[in-house]
Amino acid sequence: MPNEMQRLLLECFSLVEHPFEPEADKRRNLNFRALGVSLARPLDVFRVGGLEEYFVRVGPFNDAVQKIDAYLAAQGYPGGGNAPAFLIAGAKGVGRTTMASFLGYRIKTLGGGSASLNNVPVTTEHLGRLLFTIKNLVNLHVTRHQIPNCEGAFALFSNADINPQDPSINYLGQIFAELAQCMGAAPPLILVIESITWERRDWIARLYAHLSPLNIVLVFLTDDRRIYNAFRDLRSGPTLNGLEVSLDKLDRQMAEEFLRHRLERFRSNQSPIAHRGLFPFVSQALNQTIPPGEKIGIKLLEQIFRGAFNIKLQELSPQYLNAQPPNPQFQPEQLLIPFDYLSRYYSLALRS
Amino acid sequence: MTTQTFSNPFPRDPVVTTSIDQLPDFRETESYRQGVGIVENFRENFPLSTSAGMAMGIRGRFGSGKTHLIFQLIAELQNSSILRSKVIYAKADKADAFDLYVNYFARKLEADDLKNVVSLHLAKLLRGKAPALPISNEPRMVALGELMKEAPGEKTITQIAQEEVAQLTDPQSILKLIEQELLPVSGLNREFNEEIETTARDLGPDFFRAYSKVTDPELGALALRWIQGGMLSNSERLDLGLDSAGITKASDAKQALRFLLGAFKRADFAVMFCLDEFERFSSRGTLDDQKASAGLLKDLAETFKGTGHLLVVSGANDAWNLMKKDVFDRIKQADIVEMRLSETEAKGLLDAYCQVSYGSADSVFEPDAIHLLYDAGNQNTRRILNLAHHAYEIATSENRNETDPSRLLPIKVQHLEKAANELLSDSKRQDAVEQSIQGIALDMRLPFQKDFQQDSFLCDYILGDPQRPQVAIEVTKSIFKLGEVSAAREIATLSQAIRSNFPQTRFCVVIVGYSTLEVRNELAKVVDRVFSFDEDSFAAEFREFLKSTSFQPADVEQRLKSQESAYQELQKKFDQLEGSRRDEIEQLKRALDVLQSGSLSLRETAREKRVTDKMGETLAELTSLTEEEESLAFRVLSTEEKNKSFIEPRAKLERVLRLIDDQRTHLRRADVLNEKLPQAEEFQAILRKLAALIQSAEELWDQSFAAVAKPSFAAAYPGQGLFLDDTFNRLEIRKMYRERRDLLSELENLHPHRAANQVRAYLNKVRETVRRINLLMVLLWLLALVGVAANLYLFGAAWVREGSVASSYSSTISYVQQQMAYLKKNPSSPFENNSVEDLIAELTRSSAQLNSGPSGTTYTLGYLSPRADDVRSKLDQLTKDLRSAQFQPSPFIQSTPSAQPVPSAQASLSVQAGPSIQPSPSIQPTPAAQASPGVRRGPSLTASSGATIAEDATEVDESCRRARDLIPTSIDFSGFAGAYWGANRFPIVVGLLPLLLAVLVVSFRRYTRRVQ
Repeated sequence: MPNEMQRLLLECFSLVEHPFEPEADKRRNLNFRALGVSLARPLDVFRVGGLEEYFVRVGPFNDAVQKIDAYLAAQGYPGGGNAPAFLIAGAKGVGRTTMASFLGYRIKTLGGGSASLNNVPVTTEHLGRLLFTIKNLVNLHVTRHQIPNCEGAFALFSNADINPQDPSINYLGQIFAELAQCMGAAPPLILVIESITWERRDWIARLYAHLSPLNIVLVFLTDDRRIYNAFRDLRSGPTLNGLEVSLDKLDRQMAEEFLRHRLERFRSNQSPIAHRGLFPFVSQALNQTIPPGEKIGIKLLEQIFRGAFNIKLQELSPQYLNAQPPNPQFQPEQLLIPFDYLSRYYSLALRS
Repeated sequence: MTTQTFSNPFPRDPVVTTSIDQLPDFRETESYRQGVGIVENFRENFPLSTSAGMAMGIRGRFGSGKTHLIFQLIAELQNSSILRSKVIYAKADKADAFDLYVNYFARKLEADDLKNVVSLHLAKLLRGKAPALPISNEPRMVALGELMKEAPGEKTITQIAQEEVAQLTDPQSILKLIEQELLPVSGLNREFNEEIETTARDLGPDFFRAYSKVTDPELGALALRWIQGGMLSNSERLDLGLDSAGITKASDAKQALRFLLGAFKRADFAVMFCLDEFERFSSRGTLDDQKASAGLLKDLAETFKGTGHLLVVSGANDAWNLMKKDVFDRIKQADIVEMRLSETEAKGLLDAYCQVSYGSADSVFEPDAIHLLYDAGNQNTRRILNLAHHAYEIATSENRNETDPSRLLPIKVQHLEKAANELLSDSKRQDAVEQSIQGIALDMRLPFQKDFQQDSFLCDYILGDPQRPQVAIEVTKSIFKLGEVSAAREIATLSQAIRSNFPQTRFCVVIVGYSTLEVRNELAKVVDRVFSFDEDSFAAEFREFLKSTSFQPADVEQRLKSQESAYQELQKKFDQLEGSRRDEIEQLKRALDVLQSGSLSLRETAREKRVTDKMGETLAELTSLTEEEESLAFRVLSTEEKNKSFIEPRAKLERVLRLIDDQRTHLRRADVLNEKLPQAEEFQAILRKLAALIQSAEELWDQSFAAVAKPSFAAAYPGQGLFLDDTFNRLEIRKMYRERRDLLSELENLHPHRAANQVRAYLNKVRETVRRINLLMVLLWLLALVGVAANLYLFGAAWVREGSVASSYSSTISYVQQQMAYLKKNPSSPFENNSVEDLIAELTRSSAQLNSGPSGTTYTLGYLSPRADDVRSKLDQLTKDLRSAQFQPSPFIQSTPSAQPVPSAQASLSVQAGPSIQPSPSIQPTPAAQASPGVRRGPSLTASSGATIAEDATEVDESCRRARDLIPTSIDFSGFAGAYWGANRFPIVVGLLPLLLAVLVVSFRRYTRRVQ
């Protein structure tokens, strides 16, 4: 980040970094850029544990985390037995991916820090193809963790036998059955299956039957409430062990909590009282962004905050360019971000 | 000096194939009006979710303009910026539902079409999303004020999203917004899937599965292929999660068609399917096709009507005649348009084509020839135009060097008869060309090959060794002005290809269609020979040409060089020509528009009336639905409350939501109907407000239901039903409904009335008339009229005045004579000087009026002036004598001594239009005065004075008589007119100048039109 921008953030907003797209957080010794992560994208907590600091446990997130922690504690997982399956229900943009990553991170932490997580986007209605993809991911997992005695299982059928174009579920099933022998005690492999539609609801049980003996934790994502109910019914029976959680959009209160939390993470230690809390965002702006009764997904919310903040920076930055100390002085109201900035950014985003 | 050329105003063989852009669009027919009426009705009703579709037919003979009408109807449907539509035009050869679906329907749907449908469906769902309202723990305490008020510039994120989406011109943009998760509402895709699933409920899951993948970046192409009837491999099938690898049966195809139409309807996306020339299978197809055709038409009609879309079936009369009653049960006779030109319409059609160059058909045809044309044309548009084209060619070919069309036209009966005879063999003209070429090649022992092709090079015929052809021949048949240039371009390009592939080959072109000398001359620069096909002379000319085809190498080189340079020039020339032709066509179209504007205006009025009525129905329906919803909202108003028979809250919510859906549908219809009405924007703004309030209401109902469903509420008010005023402030709910009612009233008030429409139609008519005859010309003619009127008025006024002055002068002289006669007989009476002076003054005034000249008041009476002066001088003398007269006293007398009846000057003057002359009371003894007692006579003159006075009076009388003899009994008109012109030359010319100008402009226009 250029020096002028840092000076601007610090002097105008008492922020040590851009709160929505920081390059690094020196106080927590995190270099986001070097780590290949960004706060503007779903938090990859599984890979970079330090991001847990930015995972705001508000509203539905808090509920989900509590349920997961309680469930894992009750099951004693990881620590033996078949891996459980999870279902995260919620519309796109409510933080499902971050939640899945957090879930993986929890399992990894409880398991001693050894686990793999892969996102498996479903691009077909062909279960065989999905299983084939999963077989390849299992192979990677085995290689990465040097799990012994698994080569034979993979050698049961060659790829040509399986036929990647129209993979044989039967052959793949046999491979997974064989792999259960060697992978039962191996580090967990977490697969985030995105997503399960009503048409694919049967896959949950079938995938679970094939993969849970391999200590593969299946995390299904869905935006269909009917799947949530179906999963609950399923795990209430004997065939599946698991937990469903539901995420929702954030209301005004939750949004404020999220924003306050994010700004605090980057607020300088010597920030004046006026530069705390939601500053520079005007509290009223939140009321207008999310009027009573309305909710907005965290992804869109973060994007709107980021966009509005960037518009403000863009406005102020010309006066900082090539400015010699003493730095330009702004009236306090010039620094504020009212709703107009948020709506302006949002309109622009929709048009572009 | 350039030679002015004029061209055939009629197209040759005007066949519409893919569009009507290249031909002037004639709409002045009853068939058009009927067809457009049906399409307009369809468009106006389509927004209603329950609207039935339409199945219409078009019947007529070959060439009657059925296809033309289809394209006109297509243009009519697409003439809406609110209603989205997809038009599919097909000519099927088989009566097979599967073939029709796969080859003529589904394959015409592109990926973008389906994506647009999905997008519009999603946009519709988004419109139905309202911002959520709060659920309060204290249901009765929730205040609505904040939620209901509108704060301009303070829109919520959801409102911003809704507004932006409403303004998206590219429907697919909404897909991008959803993909980028930029919309604050969620679950759109899920709701979309649920609705589509409902559509596909009875049709099998595969349609839904495939359709729901249309926008998938990975699987969209596969899904489209399946929908279009393509076969999928097993893995592809599994990728899509389908049970079947493809649509293979007619029954599947019918279901697929029904499904797709249902999906389009859900997205408010109209489909117009035009099945043209169905005689291809119904009367000209195989026996099986003929048997199946009725079934196919019935199925199609049922499907389109059932799903709310528009089917247009067009065919020749014989095909329709084969159809049985059950077909007409589905395609009603009233919805079948018969293509037939009435004689008036035929005349209008010809007028339209003649408008630009000749003014009207009457300038081109003799009256008898027009009747013959109509008879021979057999009410058939194509045949009439064909005949007109040929007859014109025949008439003008009699003297090709003539440049003045007036010497060649009008077309006579014999020209038409000849044209009709020739036309019958016209279809064989191309065959005749081929036979001639083939025969001559045989004679000359030259190999002949038809449709020669080598790589990408194609040519109609070649003569000679195919590896090194001696002659390449291209036969061309264009339709009309633009088609001619386009065909010429193709030939020019072909000539380039021949030059590069076969430099030794001679290239000739045979034109059997429309061609002008201009284009033929240009073509001759890049080809070796251009033949304009003539059965009589072609063979000889072609044989001659073949004999001259052997070249020396030097000649070849020179020829190629000259053709190469000509080719470059030619392209530019063609560009120019195309431009001017396009202008001509445009001019023709404009002329047609003007011709048709009158009936268009009438049609518009009828349409407006219809739309107005429909709008009235829609508003009434909206009002009724709002009232019904309102009656359900308040516990105090509810019959449920009175009867204590509460509806279960969920059931009530569903009922209310249905009412709200119905209101939305009517709003949408109102939006479509409103599109072409006056004050549309204002109307639309209110519609939007109303839509927003309905959305809010929907959310209130949802929230109210959520509150009622809470255990705490259920416990507090068991079995109490669902009412808005339980949950929200009653006053504010009332306010919301009042606002909705107010908006509806506002719409009803704004809704244009029929009377206003009629006035507007009349004004439009006037405006159109003014426009047609050109506003400037109208002003010029008005000015000319004013100029002429002013001149006439001034002339008339001067003429009347001339007569009046003469008459007045005559009266004055008579009056003087009377007075003198009296004086002569009564010289002793007291005659006051001033009375005579009054006479003099009167005479002076009359004399002054007689003066002529540019600044004078009369034009022919000036010669009377000296006589008047003479009388005046005599009167002067009389005055003098009266002043010096001697008097003697006289006794009081009772009456006049002689009691002579003196004509009353007053009476005689009263009928004169001249100046009013009031004789002095002393010299004008009225009978009453004469008879009245007690009038004292003045002192009498002495005898000598009396004699002098009498003498003077006699002289005055004599002078008056001389003056009187000169007064004309009537004014000489020619003399007057000459004098008037001489005196007012300049103002007369100024007054007539606009008239002169207008006449000149009209003449010039006529001249230029002829020249064109």
